[in-house]
Amino acid sequence: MASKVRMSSQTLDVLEALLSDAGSWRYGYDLSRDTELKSGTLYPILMRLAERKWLETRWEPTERGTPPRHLYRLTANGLCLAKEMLKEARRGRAWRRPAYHGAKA
Amino acid sequence: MKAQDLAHQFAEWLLNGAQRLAPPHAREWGEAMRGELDFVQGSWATLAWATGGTRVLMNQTLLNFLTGRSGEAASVPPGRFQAEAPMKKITPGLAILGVAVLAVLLFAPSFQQALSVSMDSWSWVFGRPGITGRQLHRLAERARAEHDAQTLAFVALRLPPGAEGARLADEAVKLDPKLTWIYYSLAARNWPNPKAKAWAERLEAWEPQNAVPHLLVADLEGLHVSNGNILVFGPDQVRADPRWMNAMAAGFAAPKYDSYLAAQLDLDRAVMARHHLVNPLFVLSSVSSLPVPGIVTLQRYAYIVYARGEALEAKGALDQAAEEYWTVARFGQLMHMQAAGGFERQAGVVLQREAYQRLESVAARSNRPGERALLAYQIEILNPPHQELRDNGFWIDVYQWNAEVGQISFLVLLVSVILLAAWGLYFAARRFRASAASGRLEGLIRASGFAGELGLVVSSLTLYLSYHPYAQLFERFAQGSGAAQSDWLMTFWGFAEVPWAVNGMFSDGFWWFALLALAACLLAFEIFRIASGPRPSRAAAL
Repeated sequence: MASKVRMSSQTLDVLEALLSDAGSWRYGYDLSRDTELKSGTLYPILMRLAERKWLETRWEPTERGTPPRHLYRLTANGLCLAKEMLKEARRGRAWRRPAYHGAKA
Repeated sequence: MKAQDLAHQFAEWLLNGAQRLAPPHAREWGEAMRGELDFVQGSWATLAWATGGTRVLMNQTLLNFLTGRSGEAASVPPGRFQAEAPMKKITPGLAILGVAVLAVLLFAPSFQQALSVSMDSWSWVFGRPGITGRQLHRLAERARAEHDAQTLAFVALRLPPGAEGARLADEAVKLDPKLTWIYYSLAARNWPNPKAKAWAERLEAWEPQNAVPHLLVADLEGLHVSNGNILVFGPDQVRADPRWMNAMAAGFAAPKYDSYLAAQLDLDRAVMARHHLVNPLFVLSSVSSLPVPGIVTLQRYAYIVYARGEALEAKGALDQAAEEYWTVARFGQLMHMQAAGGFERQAGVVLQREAYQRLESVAARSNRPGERALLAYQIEILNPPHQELRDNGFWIDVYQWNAEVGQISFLVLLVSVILLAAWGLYFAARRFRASAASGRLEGLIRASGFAGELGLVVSSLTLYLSYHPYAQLFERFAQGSGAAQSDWLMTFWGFAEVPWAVNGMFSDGFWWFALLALAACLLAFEIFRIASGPRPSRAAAL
């Protein structure tokens, strides 16, 4: 089923960033820097991934007076599907990334 | 305070505001984006982060508003990605909203009138009048059967110059001699038909106390046809023509000035109410085709009178000279006070002003300071001559702009309906024939559908709002009598003409129209191809 899923290159970028350190929790801003995606692009992807249970989230308490930070990591199911998806994307033409992403891909 | 602090504060304020408006399920994400703000480096990066976040939250707010979606996640099985493109979710809600807005507005009489007027303005582009020849003939047949003189006159004044209009006019006047005034319009429009002069003379005999029929006789007398062209006789030729001179003298001495605008409007009101023809453009077309006495003819006669006055002044006969100037001044007063149309009133002002200047000079020479002061005051209050037009100028501009908005709205409404129809046809074809277009084309069709829905909502509302003042004007006109509100009817011209850019497009040999038609055919062909093609395996998309 998952092999027939089409994904945007930005979503694949986010999945790749999350897979690069699969077990650990990641901040939104870190993901933004890794993927070079702006908040307006990154967060809708995170929202959709979380909504489909590919992603789990938690809040990190901070010092008093500063807002808590949101953390993300792939669920076990999301991890499997993301790996499959990236493998599929690398094989096919779907993931056409700009040249400067070539080293990562 | 540093720029970084300021940017941070502004970014925080922006995100907080968007978060307050966002639906409950999206607020957590707003909080998440705000939590990252402290770690974003650089003022511009902070602002960019906040504006991006605000956009995400506003999209969620809009999505929530249009789809009525609750805060819960969609019931998609974990691990499976169905297409979640926001447009797909927005479109059904927006389509329903658009159709609902249009359906509600269709019940509003002013919106119905706006549609009818806008459609008529397009029929004018294609060279057809607001009311078709077939409609006019049907009206005439019915009027004949019912001995309805007013409707016969109404049709006669709208038919193109020719024998049929003349016959209907004669029938109308025979049934009701009070309608003899229709010969005024008919004679002016049918010149150089030999009957035109006879109609003008008949009108002159019917209402000798009115200046206008005399002026019409003189106007026609001052024209001649040479090699198929209508030419105006020169000043010396008309001065030597006793029929012209007599008609002008009778016109300038008449105690009444009526160019039949009020009668024309009353006729339009009565016939439109009788036959349920609710369209301001019908009135506009008759008002605009109603002739007015030629200002050149009036000025020409005034100068003949002034020349007589100057000759008398040269002889020292100042009282007789003043009497000549008063002939023009009195006629100017009559036009100014009794004419229904703004243009004629202004012509009256122009005539008066020049006559008063000459009279002031005579009063000075005759050593009558009281009379001179009074005349100076009259000249002063008649300056500037276009005060009346200037007073209304602002509102006329407002109405013109409003009309442009309305006309563009109608155009957008038409395009939106076409786009929506194409979108609906495509998805119906997909559902029943289970075929799909390529991803790019489907995206285009979906985007067109979305644009159509949005266009439908916005253009329906703007058309309604922009036309509403016109509907109010027309209602006041329909309920009034005589020439009341007739000046304001001219503001309908804005609605009677399609936007200039579009008009130009059509006047340039219909090329653009052909291009649009070709694009529509290609779209229809593509839809047909999709509808009749085989069904490919459908892939879910993220």
